[in-house]
Amino acid sequence: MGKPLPQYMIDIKKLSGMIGIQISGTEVRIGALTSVEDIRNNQILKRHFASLTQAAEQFAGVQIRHRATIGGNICNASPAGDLLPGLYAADAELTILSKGGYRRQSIREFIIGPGKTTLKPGELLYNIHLPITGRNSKFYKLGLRQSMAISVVNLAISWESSSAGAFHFSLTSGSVAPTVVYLKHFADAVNSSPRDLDTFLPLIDKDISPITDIRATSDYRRKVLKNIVRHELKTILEAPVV
Amino acid sequence: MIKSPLGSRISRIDAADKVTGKTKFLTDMSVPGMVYAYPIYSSIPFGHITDINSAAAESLTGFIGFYTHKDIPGKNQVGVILPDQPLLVEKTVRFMGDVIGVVVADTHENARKAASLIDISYETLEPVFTIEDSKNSSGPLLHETNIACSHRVIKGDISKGFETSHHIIEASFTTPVQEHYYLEPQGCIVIPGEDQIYIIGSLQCPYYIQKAVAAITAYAMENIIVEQAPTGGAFGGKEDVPSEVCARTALAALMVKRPVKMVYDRKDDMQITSKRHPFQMHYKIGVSNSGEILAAEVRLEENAGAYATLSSVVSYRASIQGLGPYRIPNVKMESTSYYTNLPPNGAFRGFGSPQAAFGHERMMDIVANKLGMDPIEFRLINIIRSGDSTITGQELVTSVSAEETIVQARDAAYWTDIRSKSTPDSRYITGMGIAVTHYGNCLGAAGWHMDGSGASVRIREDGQIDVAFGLVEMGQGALTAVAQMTAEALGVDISRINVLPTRSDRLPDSGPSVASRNVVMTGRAIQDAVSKLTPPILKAASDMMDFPTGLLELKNDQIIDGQTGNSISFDDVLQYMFTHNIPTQSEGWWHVPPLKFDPQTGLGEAYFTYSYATHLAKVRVDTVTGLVFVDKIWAAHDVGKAINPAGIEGQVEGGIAQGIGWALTENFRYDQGKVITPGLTTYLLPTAGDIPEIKTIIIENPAPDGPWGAKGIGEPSIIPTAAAIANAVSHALGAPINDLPITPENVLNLIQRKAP
Repeated sequence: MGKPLPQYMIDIKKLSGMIGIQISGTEVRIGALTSVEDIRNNQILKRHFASLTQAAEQFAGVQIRHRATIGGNICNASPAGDLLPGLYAADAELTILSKGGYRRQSIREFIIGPGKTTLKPGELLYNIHLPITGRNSKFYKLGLRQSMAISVVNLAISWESSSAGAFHFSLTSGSVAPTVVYLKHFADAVNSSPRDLDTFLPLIDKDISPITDIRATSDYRRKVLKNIVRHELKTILEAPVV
Repeated sequence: MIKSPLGSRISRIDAADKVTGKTKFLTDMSVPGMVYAYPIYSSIPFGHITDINSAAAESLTGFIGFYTHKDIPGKNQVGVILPDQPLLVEKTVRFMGDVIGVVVADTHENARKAASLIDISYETLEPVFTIEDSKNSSGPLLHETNIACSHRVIKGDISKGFETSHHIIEASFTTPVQEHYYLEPQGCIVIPGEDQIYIIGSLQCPYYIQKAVAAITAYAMENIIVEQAPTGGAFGGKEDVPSEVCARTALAALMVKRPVKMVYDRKDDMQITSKRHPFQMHYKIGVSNSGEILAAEVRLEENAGAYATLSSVVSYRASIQGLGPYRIPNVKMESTSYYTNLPPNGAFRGFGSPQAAFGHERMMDIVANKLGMDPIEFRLINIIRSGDSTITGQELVTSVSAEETIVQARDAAYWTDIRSKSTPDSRYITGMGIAVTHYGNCLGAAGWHMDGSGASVRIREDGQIDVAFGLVEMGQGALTAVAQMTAEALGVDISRINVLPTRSDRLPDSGPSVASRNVVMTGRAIQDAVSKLTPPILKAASDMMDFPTGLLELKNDQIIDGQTGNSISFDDVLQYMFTHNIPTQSEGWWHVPPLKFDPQTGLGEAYFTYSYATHLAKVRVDTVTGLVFVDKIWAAHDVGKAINPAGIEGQVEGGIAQGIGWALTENFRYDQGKVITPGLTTYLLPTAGDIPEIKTIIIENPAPDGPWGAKGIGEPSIIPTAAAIANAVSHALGAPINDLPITPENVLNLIQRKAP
């Protein structure tokens, strides 16, 4: 049952240098051991990366949010990981630490499959960098109960406020492919003509490859993701311009 | 003056110890020299064992022994009603989870590991998993037949009833498996002695275990002592199943001659033990234009799993209650359980009632809809009232409150206003649904022979009072109700009452703590015990006060002379009794009154009294995702008399939570007989966030046979919930929800099918 235990385990939970959220120049830096609960309550993130705090808000349950870390959510590399779409949407970069020094990699290259990352033995995810861009973002989670639910589908959307109607939407979705995916075909089309979004919805099928599992069928995931995207984009498009 | 403890809202007397972690559950207990057992079970759903190889397990460090049916000194049989279930498989395995042997090792982990190393070879047979497959199977049968049991109710002239009907409406329904998911898995410790076996376990009926272990071990029943450990939830899942768990552990303990503990891991508990029967149901109802039901033909079919266990109780009750609390002159009701190669389904809160309620209450809405009537208006035309007869021809006279539960729930919820509100343009559609149910208290005609229970009361010299009862506390609040009832009966403060842990040698066989019978049975037994104790107490007081006993009463910790108002304290009278050698203990017993019932026709007195309930559910359906949110539930329950209103609310809220889970989120699933939802990440019990505001409305219409008029509440609390939710979702969608669980995928399909 499960994986055999290694001979030694090191508890890194209390490495204070790896905990915390701060602005550094044009980016926000999050220590890999920062708890999901701290992300949920952080005012900097709330202002610049709303999709991340919204995802943290809907993450597991209160006890787990206090124990779980952003680094854990990334390295677990679950296709359904709730912090991931927001991190993809924010073009997060990761610093990975090893005896030999640091290396930096974007999250979309770091996660290579379900449960698989480029992390090698002797390496440690150190922190997460989020470039501040002034873009808006939001997160949507579909779970089968109100808390403690693994996402059937999740979605992060980021966009630019623009009175000229150029939103430059970026959409990232989890639980619909082996890793979080960008809904690129759809986003490209909708960005060229946002008012015709209904006609572009079938393009989402080109970007996703959902499976049928214990939580939902592939068919439902395809259908419901389109419904959610449609509803969320309409809400953004129809919102009064401030 | 102290407040009467009966009817007042008091905290549970076991609450503080449970919330502070002081209560020791079975997993916290150990005894010197104890070793651990674990079951070895079939990894295929149907087949014959051809070889068992234990060599690898035997070479494991810590291995102590491995035992099979060959080691059983007595009879290899644990079927609680039908003798169809071996304790340990001899040749044929009938479900994935059928237990073949028991391994004993020095630790739980080693026992589990050794169990996984026992290598069993099989010759496979073609399994059947569904009712249809079971009926139509051309392969080998599970037992002599694939029918586990059947029941029926035949009343009036069904063809004439349909002939005179203006409308005949038919529909089919299905309900899924439900797992009890008691927080504490099955477990026990068995201590073998010179000529006695002592068992402590997590259980609902010590007497079942006593009988089962006696049969397996060939010990005399009185030499098997069974004590109930504080039990972390049961819901029916610990009615008969602990007999198997304890008997297997007892066999192991006899073999190794040491105390043995066995606790199932969750995954294995879910694969081995019983669950709620899935039902498939077909209803055909004939009505007049004015909305009177004239005829009903119903076919209920239950998936029993591999062994009959308590299927006949479920099938019987479903047949009696399968048309709800309505007046119907012509009835043909058939209820049949079919064997399949799945874990046996058995007792689960309601015994088939929530399933049958889903059938009859969906049907009532479908018929009302067809007639263009409001669902409440239609129900009120047909609802059973005092003086009416049930479908079994039982005339109900007292404590008949179905109508009152409807009216009170309807008025509290502003039914008409809320139901007529439509929200066509928004993302969410709201819906409002109703379900009305009745529940026959205790074991009914089919179980009448064992429907008696005891209690004993012993007043100690220090003024404290020990109460023993034959039923159990399993999370439902029995200890508190027992203390309240004893204090009330004796007229003393509740702080004097100590309720003893249930143990098989304290009282005669009192049957199982099931069928919402605890308060009714134990309350009457306490009244009986106290009625024997009161005369000597009053006699002593009379001697002391020099006043005729006829004018004395026990009240407020005093014996009061009704004429003069003079009183003497309870403690002073006790001192007198102890110094004058007057006994201060007694035993009480109550048996359900005789029931005239004909099992051939299903006509007669099915249960001695009924509890009634109406649930109204307000739901919101998300048209984007198909998710259903329950916004509020109004629950009106006639409980006869509320012994502890706070306890009633607890039961109602718990029942509704479990009903919401069954209706919406739980979705138990098998793949070829293997449980593929074996834990909380895949088997989604509702969380606190999924439970809405619940408005409990307590109606007290006393039942003459209940203690102080009380009736059962444990099961009535879950019975209408899923049906009310399904009716609300059907109302919201304008499309019928006839299958549970209500998954977002099905809801979304219904929405999109309806979309223009």
